[in-house]
Amino acid sequence: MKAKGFLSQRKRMRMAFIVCGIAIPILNFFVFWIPTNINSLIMAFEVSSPEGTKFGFDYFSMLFNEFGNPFSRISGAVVNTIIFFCVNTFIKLPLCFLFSYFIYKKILGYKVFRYVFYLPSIISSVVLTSFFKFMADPGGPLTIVWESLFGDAPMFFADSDYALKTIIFYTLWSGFGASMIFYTAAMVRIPESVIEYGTLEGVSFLREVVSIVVPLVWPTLSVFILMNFVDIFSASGPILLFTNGEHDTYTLAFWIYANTMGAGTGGQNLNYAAAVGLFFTLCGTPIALFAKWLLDRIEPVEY
Amino acid sequence: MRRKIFRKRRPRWLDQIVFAVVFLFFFVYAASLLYPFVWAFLSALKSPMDYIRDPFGLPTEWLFSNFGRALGELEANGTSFLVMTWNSIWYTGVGIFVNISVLSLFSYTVAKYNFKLRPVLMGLNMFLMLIPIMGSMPAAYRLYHTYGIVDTPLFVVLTTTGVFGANFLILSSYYRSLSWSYAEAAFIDGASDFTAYFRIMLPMAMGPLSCMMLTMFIARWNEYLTPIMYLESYPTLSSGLFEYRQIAESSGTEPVFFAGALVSMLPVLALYTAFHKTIMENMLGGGIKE
Repeated sequence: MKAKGFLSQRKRMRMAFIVCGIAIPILNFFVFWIPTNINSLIMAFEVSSPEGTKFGFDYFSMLFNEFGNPFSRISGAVVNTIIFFCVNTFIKLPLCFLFSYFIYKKILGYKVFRYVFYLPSIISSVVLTSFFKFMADPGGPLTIVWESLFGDAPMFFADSDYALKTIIFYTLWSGFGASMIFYTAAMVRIPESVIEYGTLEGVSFLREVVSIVVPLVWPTLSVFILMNFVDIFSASGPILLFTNGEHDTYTLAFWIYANTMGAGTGGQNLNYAAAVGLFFTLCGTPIALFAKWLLDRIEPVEY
Repeated sequence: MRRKIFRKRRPRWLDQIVFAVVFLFFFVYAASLLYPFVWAFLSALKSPMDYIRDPFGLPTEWLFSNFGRALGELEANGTSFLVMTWNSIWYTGVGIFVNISVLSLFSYTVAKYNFKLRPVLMGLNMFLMLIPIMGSMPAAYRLYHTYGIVDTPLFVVLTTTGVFGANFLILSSYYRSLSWSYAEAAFIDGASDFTAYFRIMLPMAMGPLSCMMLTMFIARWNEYLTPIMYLESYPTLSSGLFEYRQIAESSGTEPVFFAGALVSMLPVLALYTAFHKTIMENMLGGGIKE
């Protein structure tokens, strides 16, 4: 009888522990995540007018009308977002992978390079973008170098022909470090004998990367490719810190921020921003799921 | 006929040429990453006129006093540099403490105990990681205002209790890899589940937890958007510097801005320099050392 009482007390204590362990995250989920996303749905269809509030597709038709207008801000934002996605996926990712390969191969000074390449990831974006912006402003070192090489320097952040390109250059220049660590960590686990065998067989560097390293680190690489696809419509650069959206540099993520804060958009427009967010979530979900399905087709190599 | 095993080893000279070219490229790239900091340091020591006249050159007069001026003069929204530093400290510290405490207990519970909600929670985590929800910012903005937590320290506490995501996945798999026999031995000695967690299992997870704390510290110290949007009266160094930058551009006090910016990155730089090896080794989930 006493043992049974002890057991039930033990069981109760265990139950109390489990409840304590999971209660706060679940509560957070129900207090923040669920209302946020339900509200997001409601807001997308909620149209307020002097006559009252009604529900309809007004914001979606507004969005489609904007798509038809080549000068609309949101059309430009979509194009810029796709550009950022392509740069991230087809330029930054392969280059970063190659960088990681040579760090993994312990190129001379690799520890110093690894330290320095990761620096932009730990320094505040505000600080780094400020340094970069001041350097690229008229009279700054970058414009002086440009003038000595190509003649008159443009206003890098105040000219529509250059602003987006400069931000893309910045995201490439400063963005190799973070994922490089993950790639290198995955490469370190490749058995030395496999690489050595390839070297003895006379494989070139390119063949070694493509036929040996990529298949062996595929689980890590595929996660990064997938994340790019999951975030396809969130792809952006530090727009707020460089141009605040001016000079044709809007991206979708920045457009939503600007409409939420009412910055440079003639006032807040939370409902329209929610509708645009919902639309691109709906567009992005099948793309992300298809990318996952496609990436899962490639079997990882067991070793 | 015997098969020739070693056909043709990749020539060493080819390795050397490729490595030399890549080294040169890495060297130039690394120099380009370091140069802005050197340039900003030199600019921070100049007078405004000196800064405009010769952006490349050394300061004609080395004004170390600009660092003192940054601490005294630099302000955003009427908040001084020192108060912004204090805001950064508590914003980072409270956020990390709450997040890590909740995350660790949650991960341990899900990893080590069998209960009905367990598979649901794991599935929910995957769902939240995979579905690319964008545009929830307006709804969140409105919700936080409705709850009345915007521009209060409570905002930091409440919003950091959300722990679903990659860190949960990493930490729960780490706890799963820890032997349950340690806890069982404690139970035999009469310890409760709370004692087993706080006295035995939590100390064993300090390795990955401290690595997560380090990376969270860097991320939160540098975060600027959340303080700009939700903590207007509590500007941190990052959000405050962003606002001051616009003043510096129009008032010609760039050197003071550079001094403040350099001081603001010191804690992160010191931590990174001291622990970069730990960060590098433990960044990858599977790379966490037991």
